[in-house]
Amino acid sequence: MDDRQLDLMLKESFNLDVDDQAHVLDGMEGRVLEKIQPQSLDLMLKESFEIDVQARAHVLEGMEDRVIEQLLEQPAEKTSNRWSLFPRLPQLNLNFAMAGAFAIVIFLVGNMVGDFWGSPFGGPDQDYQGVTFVVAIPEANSVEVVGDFTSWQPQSMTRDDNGVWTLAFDLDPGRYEYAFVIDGQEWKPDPLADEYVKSYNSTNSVRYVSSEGETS
Amino acid sequence: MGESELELLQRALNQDMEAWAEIMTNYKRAVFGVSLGILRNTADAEDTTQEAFIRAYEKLHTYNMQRKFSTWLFTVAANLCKNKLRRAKFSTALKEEQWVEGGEDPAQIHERDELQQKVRKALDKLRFDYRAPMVLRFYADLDYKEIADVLGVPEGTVKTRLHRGKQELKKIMDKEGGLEHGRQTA
Repeated sequence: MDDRQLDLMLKESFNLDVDDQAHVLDGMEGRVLEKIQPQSLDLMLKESFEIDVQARAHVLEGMEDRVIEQLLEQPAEKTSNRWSLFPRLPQLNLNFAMAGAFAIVIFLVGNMVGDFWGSPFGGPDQDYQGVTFVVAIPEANSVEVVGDFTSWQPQSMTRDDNGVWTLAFDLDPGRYEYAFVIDGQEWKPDPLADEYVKSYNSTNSVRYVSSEGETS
Repeated sequence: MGESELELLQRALNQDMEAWAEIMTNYKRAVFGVSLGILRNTADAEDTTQEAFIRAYEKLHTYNMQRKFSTWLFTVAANLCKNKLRRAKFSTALKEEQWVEGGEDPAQIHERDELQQKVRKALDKLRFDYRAPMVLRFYADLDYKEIADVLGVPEGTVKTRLHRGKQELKKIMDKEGGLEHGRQTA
């Protein structure tokens, strides 16, 4: 191999190397721009969200009235709670000591009744929909949820016209394991679970619940 | 939280609907913005906003007044959005929003800007995990800790998701030629 041949080979080799690795250059302009102007995309996003809302703000007109109308139509237990009794005590013309005693009694009785009969904010409540479990099994005759939040007792889900089964629970923040029971026999994991864990011979689904009901 | 807001909340807790109406007036735009940013559909965002105020009123007794009210309200709305998206996976998919609108409103004229359109379309394609922290950060102006509270994830996860979300967004825009245009306008 003479010098000329070696030069050509080197040239070719360097070019091939660059060709092989050229993919690392994809999108580099964007990365560099981001470093030079780190806020450009952030500002664009901020502006984009704001413009979207601005252009559609008309849908919010009169929303207050619509919400209040719905709240007033709901059964009393949905729009009231035992805590809200406290501020109303002065209207009863009781002296302070009597009001305090009365509040304690109301609180204790309220708790006992709530625990015994099921508070509107605890336990399964299809209307409330704190954390909703959903699964599509059109061919099933029944689908139930079992989990640590039901003490592994089956809770029936409701089927819609498309064969989608749903059931809502009001759950405290935390990690919950559960499964679906199909036609009273077959245990199935939730395809939308946050994660899965092995339990004996089956797989349990896991849902993480944040402070107001759902996971991220 | 200002004293007047606290007073309003206390009155609302005592079933004073006028006070709750005032709270709604103060926050409906913010809640709608967060819902729209996550759901990417006007009708669904409107429904969710309304539902969020109903749900928040029903759960007001659980609200810890030491916590920022807007953050608590966004938590309620974000959870409703997630439930809606969960359901949409199985039933009718959320309708694709037409982000271009006519008219001579300056906001709408601006909306036609090509790059903004690409940002919107790219946002449509982002998954919830990335889109939710993005709207809470860039629309609602929440800090990382507040976003973590709203979404129920650690603060580090919020940072990671924001970073990855932006990378993903740029990738999507890149495919559409968005960065090419961005270079000219940035």
